[in-house]
Amino acid sequence: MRPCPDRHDTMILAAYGELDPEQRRDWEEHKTVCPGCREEYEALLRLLGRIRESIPVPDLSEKGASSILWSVKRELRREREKPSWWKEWVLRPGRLVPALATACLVLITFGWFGADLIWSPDRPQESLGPIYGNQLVLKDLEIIKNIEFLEELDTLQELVDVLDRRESI
Amino acid sequence: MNPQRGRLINPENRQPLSPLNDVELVDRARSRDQWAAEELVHRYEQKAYAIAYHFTDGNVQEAEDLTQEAFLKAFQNLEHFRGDSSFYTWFYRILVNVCLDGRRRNSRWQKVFLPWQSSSADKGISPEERADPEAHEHSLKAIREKELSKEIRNSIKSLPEKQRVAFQLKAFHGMSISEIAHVMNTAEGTVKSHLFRATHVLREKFKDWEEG
Repeated sequence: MRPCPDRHDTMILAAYGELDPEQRRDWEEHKTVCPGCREEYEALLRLLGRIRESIPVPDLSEKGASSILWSVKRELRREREKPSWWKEWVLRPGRLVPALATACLVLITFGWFGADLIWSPDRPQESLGPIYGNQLVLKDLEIIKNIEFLEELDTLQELVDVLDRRESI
Repeated sequence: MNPQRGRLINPENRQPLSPLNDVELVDRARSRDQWAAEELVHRYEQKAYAIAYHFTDGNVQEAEDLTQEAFLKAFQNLEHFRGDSSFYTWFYRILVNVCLDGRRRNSRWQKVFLPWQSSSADKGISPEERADPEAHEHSLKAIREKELSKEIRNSIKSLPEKQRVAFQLKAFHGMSISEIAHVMNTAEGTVKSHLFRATHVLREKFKDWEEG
């Protein structure tokens, strides 16, 4: 006979001892009238027993137990001996060496490139500030405006040079 | 097992003490009381080892290592234990997570090194046993039992992770559904459904095992 499909979950809970007293009573009563459920329940109990037997657990070895205890003791000792964070900095200044070295390296690197940027003769004009930049732009505009006049001045200068050379000959 | 293990001895005067409950021991261990910590270890090491043993499919060394790792983690995080649940469910949650991490770690290693591993462990009946009919006859039942045990172990191993955890904690370690829910950090209904599925799968797989 087949077990009742609607009793499937109850059967599993009963096998694991997870039914409350009322449910348990109800299940026991059902078992007496339903041979399918009774047989399936007994088979399930036997299977669970066989599964438990299939993986017997040996006792934890003395060596394993003492190893666990030793590591826990060591951890507790370490925790107990651990000073507070500020004491750690004070008592072990050596811990600061890598941090200080990194900070120095950063300062040197950025300091070098920073100085190079500030003091380089062909640095971009923007780096010297907006006022200086504006002044240069005005100066350039003036040159552009008078470019023709300046070109004429150049031509005159050349003529003067030619005349000077002739006179000297 | 050492019969001395688990006995409560006062380290000051070496006299036995009355048993303290877990909460008192945890409080003492928090204030770096070594004796209390040792007592907690003695109290749970065997059960913890059994759980780890099942999770590692019977690997003794790995089970011991995982048990040790779980205890260390527990004592390192004892400050975070708020007492919402009992110490042992809190500790078993750590243990189960350590075991699952170990299992994942192992499966990654196995994926890398499996092609180089020999398949000697899976040989079954040796040629000598086959050649000797008397010995074969004599050990036939034992071999069948052994094969069945192996098949059961493989079937449990092949269950989805959560179903496997719920099933192992229930069937092998007799935890209640609410305890398993705490350990797995999930709802009781979810644990029930994992248990139903796992049990159903195993029942279907071994429907005729008694006849065979």
